[in-house]
Amino acid sequence: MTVGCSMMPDWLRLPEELVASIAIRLTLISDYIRFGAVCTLWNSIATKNRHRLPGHLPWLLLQPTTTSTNPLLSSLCTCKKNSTSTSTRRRRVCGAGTGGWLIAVDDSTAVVSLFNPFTGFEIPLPPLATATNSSSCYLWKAVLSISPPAEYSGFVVMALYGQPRSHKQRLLALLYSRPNSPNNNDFSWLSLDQTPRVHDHSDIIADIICYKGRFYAVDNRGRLFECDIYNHHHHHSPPRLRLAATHLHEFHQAPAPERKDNYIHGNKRYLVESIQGDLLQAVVLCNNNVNIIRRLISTHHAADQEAAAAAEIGIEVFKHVKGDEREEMGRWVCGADDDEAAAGVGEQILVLGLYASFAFSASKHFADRPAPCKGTWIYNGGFCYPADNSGIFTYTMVSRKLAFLMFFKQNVAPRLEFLLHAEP
Amino acid sequence: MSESTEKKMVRLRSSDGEVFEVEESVAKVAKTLQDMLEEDCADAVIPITCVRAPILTKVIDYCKDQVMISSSSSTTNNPNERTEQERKAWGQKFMEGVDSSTLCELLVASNFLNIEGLLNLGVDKMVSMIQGKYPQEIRDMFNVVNDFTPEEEEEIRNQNAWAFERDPYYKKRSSSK
Repeated sequence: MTVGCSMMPDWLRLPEELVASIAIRLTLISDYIRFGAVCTLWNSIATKNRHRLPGHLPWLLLQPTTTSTNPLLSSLCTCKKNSTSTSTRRRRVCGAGTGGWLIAVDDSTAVVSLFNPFTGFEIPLPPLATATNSSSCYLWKAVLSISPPAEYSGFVVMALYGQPRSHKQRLLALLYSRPNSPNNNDFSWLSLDQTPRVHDHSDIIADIICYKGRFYAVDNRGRLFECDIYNHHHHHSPPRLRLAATHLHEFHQAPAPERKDNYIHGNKRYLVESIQGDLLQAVVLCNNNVNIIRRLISTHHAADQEAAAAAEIGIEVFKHVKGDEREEMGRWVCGADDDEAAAGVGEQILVLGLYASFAFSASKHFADRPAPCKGTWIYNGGFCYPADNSGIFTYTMVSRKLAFLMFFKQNVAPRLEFLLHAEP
Repeated sequence: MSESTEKKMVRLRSSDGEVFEVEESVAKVAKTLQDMLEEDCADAVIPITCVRAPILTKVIDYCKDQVMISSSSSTTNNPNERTEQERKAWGQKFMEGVDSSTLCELLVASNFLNIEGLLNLGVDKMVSMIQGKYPQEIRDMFNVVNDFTPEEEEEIRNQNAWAFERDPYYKKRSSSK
């Protein structure tokens, strides 16, 4: 009996299924696209297997700054197929889902759309103004419950919006798609009843997330709210917000030993799902020392925003623990309270962004590079600036143990490159 | 009972004619061979015509290691048992220095012999080789010929132009000015 197959070590003779399984393991969409541009065979395999791509990391985009526009961002926003419209250029990305979906808004008209630069699909959403009764509103962030398939049915979008140029009030609205009805008259934004929140003017919603198919919001005091979207879906009663965890300080009264008193929790908070599947809250720590802040302002000669960013000195991360029967509400635990939470940080990297935050495994994605040290945090969105015209952005952040620089090559994003410096 | 009667041996012949004698348990790591051996339809020497001797050596090394782990894992306090991390490190070491043509043959061999663990190592290795590279780099690495027409290539690149910006390896062909 003979056991046989072809003999040549020829890459093009690999079984198609094997090549497909290699392609769909490429975690970054840019790698997948480039793989498909190698030859006609691999192109057809990549095209055929697009739907099998696992939940990819969201697009990593750099927000354009006042001093420079971002070519990557504009190329993404204008790559809409079959359109030469210049209006697409004005879109601002404000949310991302898995599988390459982006949510963008045209600030001049508040028209929101869901689009996928990878596949070229685009789904127009109704203008956000329909939820607000006012003609102008600013979309801070939007999140998507699941990646809509090509025929777009059954997805939910949550939007965090407010008055233009005002940080004061932030509201939530939901949008349900109607399965199999691509007519956009069929969906509309639904403003959310926010009664469980204390209507204190200092309370704002800091971030929203779609976590395990449910929507959560965190306010600037660290309280977590869950939005019961399915209640609405099934019973046609208005969706409600439910307090899912109280603010942090009740459970975190004693400062950790190494923590100095002049560090306070800032208003910036990010919700992110860890690679272990836990819901994390990352809080930006600010320097509370008035003298230091004054010095920063004077040395930077900069606007308040930049001075505030310079005062940011680190990130503290909390893990959400679900409530049980005894204790209806969940709570937050941090590394100091909970060994498991500290260990869970491990070798993952958190990217905390304005429109999407995500975690990924350092060892998996940087296997061939110097591994980022344990428990490092990457924080994006607060103080990014282009170092020069080379298109390299530098992100700096100092945590308790590490200072590191992170280089994004603007035009080859979403690839990340690291330079790590351990603090002496 | 002597050692030789206890362990049944299986002989495998590589495509270039070299014969390898391995314990049956080692050969059975390969699902394809396991099925054959269980159906008892294996002759004295099983010819494996798509795998050259150096590759078959590597495959057998892998199978031997798997047998070593699994045979001792039934006993308690197993010194050979590996943590997830050690397993990963072992896999990385095993694939270290594997060049692209060996990798291709290993993939073919493990796919054909149906050795899932080895196939996964190979796929991971290939993925890590592709990551962050431009098409021409990938072609050079794997010796794949660019068979697109200039127009086709241009179109594919334009569909997702952002992924190819600053590609230092791509020069627009003069025909597509």
